[in-house]
Amino acid sequence: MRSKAFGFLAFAAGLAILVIALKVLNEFPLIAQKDLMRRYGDFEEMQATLGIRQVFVPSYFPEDFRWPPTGILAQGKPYPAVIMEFERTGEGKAREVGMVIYQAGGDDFAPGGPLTISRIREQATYPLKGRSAILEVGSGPNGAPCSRISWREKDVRITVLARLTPFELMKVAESMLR
Amino acid sequence: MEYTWQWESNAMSLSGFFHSFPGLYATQAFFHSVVASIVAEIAIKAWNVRDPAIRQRVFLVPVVAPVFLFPLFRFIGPERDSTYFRLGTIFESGRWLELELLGTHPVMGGLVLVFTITSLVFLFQELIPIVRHSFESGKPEKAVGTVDCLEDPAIRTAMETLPVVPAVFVVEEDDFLIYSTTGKTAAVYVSSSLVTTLTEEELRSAVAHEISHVVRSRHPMLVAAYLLRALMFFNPVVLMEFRRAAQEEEKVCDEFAVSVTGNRQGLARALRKLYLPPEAPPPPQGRKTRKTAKEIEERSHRLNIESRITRLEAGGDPDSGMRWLVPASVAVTAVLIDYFIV
Repeated sequence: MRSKAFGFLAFAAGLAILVIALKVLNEFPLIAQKDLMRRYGDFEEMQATLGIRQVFVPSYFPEDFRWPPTGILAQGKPYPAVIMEFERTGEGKAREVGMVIYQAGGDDFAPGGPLTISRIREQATYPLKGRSAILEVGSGPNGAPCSRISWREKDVRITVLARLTPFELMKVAESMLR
Repeated sequence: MEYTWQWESNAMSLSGFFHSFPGLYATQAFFHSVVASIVAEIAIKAWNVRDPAIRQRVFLVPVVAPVFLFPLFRFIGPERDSTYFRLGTIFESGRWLELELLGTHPVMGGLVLVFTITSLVFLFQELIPIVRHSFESGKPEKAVGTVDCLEDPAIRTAMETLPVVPAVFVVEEDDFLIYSTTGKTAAVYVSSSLVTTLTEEELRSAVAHEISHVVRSRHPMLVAAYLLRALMFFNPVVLMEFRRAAQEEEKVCDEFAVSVTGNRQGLARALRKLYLPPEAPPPPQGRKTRKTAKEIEERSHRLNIESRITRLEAGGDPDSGMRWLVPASVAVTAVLIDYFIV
């Protein structure tokens, strides 16, 4: 038997090659098919690539947030889904994602990501311009206050998740509907 | 192309299955076993592992791991299902599954085909024969006597340490046969022709090998491995790795027989007489496909026997220092990498 040390080195090298090969394989479908989930440079690029006709965007932004989104992810298959990330942009503010808006054709769409609501303190049904929305108030993993509002707009489920007061969150949601 | 917010109806059924829990479980179990199998192969090559007991443990990692990994990962890391996690993984199976070609999903279809074929192979080559065997096993009617292999004091002492010492029966039969049955009526059966052909030490070695099968059939790890393997009936990688582990089982039993009898050459000679008769001349042409398949199977069996004989004649491979190190390294590494295979 070869020495254990050489064995470990060879094993580690083999694993490195395996991981690199898997990563390369993982990129092939993105090259072959444009409508798989991926990050886009901006909103227009996403719309031009995927041709998603109607994306609900807010016209009201609380202080520290503004259009366009700082990050955008989207897919066309198996159902269309768009995730818009908004970072706080105020002077002296840490550049962190403070609001995420996602809309998807599938109810099981669960993006996870930089903003999550880990503990829900209060949940209520809220009438949102004639729609029935679910408003949740709670906190993120680090204990920071966090709110979420979610409703269905025909075939699409829209969710707004933000480190905002419920009042501000509802104003953002209402501004998405005309 | 423009998208509406609806699921595409033509992709719903197959895509729906692959997004359901059973579909996700089957797909991820498949990819987890592929990765674990490659990790196992890298370890075997890196450490040049030749000890059959260690090789067997290594081959069992891709058999056992995929059964548990998907539910375990869901429990410890629910965020694995999220879009963000999937974007940052090493390999996301969903990307390949969603690939479209001429309005079809070739990878989805291919995977369903592979799972179906593997399930049929499991059913007809493993499950049905095992069920049939368990109903038919027992003392053959033609058993005419017993062989007392315990006359040798050394063997008797060795056998006393075993949890079971099965009876050894002679069966009136012209073909060379030796096999064992397990369970409550565990026994070793030897054909009368073999008793007259093998020398006393060769027969003792062959019987010791079969006793090892009886003893190891009660080994909890192997019983558990088979049950878990049965849960992965659809997984071709598990099928292949389990068969490799089963081949190593023969070598493990060879080592057991040698440790009991202290005679490597005796077992090597017995194997040669039992399984390696001079090769028959090539058969006449006709019904080529079936003949070829049978020939391939026979050739494969012959190669396996030859490798066991070569191993026995060359001496053992004491890799005792690596007994648990290599399987543990493979298991830990496979789990860590598989966490990022979704």
